[in-house]
Amino acid sequence: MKKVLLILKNKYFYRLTRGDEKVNRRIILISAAVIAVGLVVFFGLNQMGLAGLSAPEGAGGTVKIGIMLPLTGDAALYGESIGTSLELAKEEINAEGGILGREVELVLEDSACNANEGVKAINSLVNLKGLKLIIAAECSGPSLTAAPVAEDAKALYLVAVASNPDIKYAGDYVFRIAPSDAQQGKDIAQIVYDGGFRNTAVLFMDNAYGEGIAGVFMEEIGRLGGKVAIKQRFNQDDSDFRTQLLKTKETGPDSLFVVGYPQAYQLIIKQMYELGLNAQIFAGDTFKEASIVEALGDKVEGAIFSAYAESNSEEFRRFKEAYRKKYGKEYGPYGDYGYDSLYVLKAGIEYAKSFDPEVLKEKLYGVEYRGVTGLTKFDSYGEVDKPFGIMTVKDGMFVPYEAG
Amino acid sequence: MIEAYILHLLIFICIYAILSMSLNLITGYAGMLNLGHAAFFGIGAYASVLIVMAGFPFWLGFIAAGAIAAFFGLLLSVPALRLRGDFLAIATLAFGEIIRSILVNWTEFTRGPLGIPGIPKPEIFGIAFDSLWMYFILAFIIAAVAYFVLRHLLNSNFGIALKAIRENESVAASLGKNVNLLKMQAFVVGAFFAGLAGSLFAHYITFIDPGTFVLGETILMLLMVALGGMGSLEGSILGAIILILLPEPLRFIGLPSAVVGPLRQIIYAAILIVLVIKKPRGLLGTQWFGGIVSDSN
Repeated sequence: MKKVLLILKNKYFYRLTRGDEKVNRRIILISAAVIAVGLVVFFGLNQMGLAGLSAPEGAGGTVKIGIMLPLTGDAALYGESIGTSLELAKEEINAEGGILGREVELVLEDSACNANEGVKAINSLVNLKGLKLIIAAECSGPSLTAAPVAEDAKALYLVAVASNPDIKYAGDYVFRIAPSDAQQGKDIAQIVYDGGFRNTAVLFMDNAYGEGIAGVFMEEIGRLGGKVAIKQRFNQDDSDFRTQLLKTKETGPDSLFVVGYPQAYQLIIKQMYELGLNAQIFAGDTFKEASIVEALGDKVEGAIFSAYAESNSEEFRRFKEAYRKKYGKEYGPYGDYGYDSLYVLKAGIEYAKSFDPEVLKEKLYGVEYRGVTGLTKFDSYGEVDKPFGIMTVKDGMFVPYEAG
Repeated sequence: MIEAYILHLLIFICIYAILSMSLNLITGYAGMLNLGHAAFFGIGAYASVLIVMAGFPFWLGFIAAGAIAAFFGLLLSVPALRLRGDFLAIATLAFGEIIRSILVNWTEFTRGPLGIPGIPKPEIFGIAFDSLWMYFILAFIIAAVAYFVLRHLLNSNFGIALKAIRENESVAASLGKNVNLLKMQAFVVGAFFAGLAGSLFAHYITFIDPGTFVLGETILMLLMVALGGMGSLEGSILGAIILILLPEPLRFIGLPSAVVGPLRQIIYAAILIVLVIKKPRGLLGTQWFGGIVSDSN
């Protein structure tokens, strides 16, 4: 028995320690090779001018604008619609002679809607490619992590869609053309209260978006004198909401405020009907999605929700038409904000008569730009005050809501 | 400007090297497939941030980050002692999910999905680590210390015993090794270093939210370990270097904007597949990754 153990011991311990030693000797060689190849590739590309390390203005009178957007990951759908809308804006601007006579060039960087990737993306844009004008068409997480990097590099940082309230304090170079969630929560609470609803159940998605809106909504409802019957969260990927809805039913609310993504709205409303829960439905701006009405028909008739864009302005119609003409389909979520962000930047540069972020960060406060998403006019924090439109579903169509 | 870019990547490499080394201790040396490592990372990040933002100095938050993560490592090791192979993987996966749920739902404490913005850069005894150079030096020192401590640990009897457990638990036990205690220690030490990395990460990136510390992050660490080689600390560092740098050259290629995102991921994945086929034991490894998943002893 002792012998067997000794053999086993030798077999395992001896082999392993030997193996590791041998491996150790190869490390320096392999690491050196990897680093050498990396450096050669990096500087080789740089020499050939492929790395895009040229001056921010670029050659031949172009102006390069860095765009951060989620091209992969959970929000890739939004990245696609924002990206195509930006492309449309770029083509339009270039067709009309560019910005201050310079042609616009967009440099896209993927952030995957991930805080960590956002830092890498902005770092590549401002530090590697030396861009000074950045549009973050982006989720809240990466918008927040990337802002300090842009601030350090003294690059102008225009946030196009992120709605997290904390972006307000992100820095001097940081501006945002989308209203923060705080605004939306307040507006919809006002509508709920004005509609005579005093006992509202709140059901929201447990991410920055849902939490942001629902938090402000509940605060505002309380301030106005209404009551929150019950507050419950759900996960973005959930498909069964019966537990939450049954609990909601027990509290007997007259209205239900839901914040989620389109898929969740569909399921929640369907299951509400199954469980016989009758309440007026209020929802966030993500509700404006044709598939919800298609799937549920008259079940969503009369649902009231806040909508991001000023939906019946001249500019909006023109954008919608131009997008349809170029891509042969309707514009996607937040495309209007992507489109506007480039025009706001253009308006700022033309107002300041400069591409220098140092000048721009002072002059942007004087810009008043009326675009697809309404009037963009920055307050002292670089934030805008855009009222949310309130819409409802009537005969299967999204129409502006009129009280009474 | 280029300097800032490179420094940034180096800081990330330091942080991920600590993470992959600590995961290697648990998975590569002790042979326990841990799919909840990002949770330790997250616990460290949140612990450090909450402590520092409550007005305590950075060094305290930093050490507490490691200590609290280590405590959770101890908690996780309790079920881990009873499970093996893929069952253990599922338990650790669930652990990661529990921690994520707590971070999301305990909003009074963690601010939930909104995340914590405006995390201050660290200051230790009057030295402010607010520039990229200073932060890199800090991260490098910590990564170097982590490497030497782990190397010392793993070359000692402790490390050899862990490898014996990985190879064959019964043999290790029959040689008088306390298998349960060793596994527990592996989890605690691994979690401790992951917690330290979490603190470094949070104070560098200045914003944390629960979405950062999810399974995808663990998979990335696991890839670093598998690519570098199970059971090789140097391999983990190499894995971290490669996987952090790999996507970067792809940024220079002038891809058309419509496909730049997906194409980069495809190239990334293709390189990984080739590496794994050509080098199933990892670049510097001694252990086949598949051996741990389908461990039947």
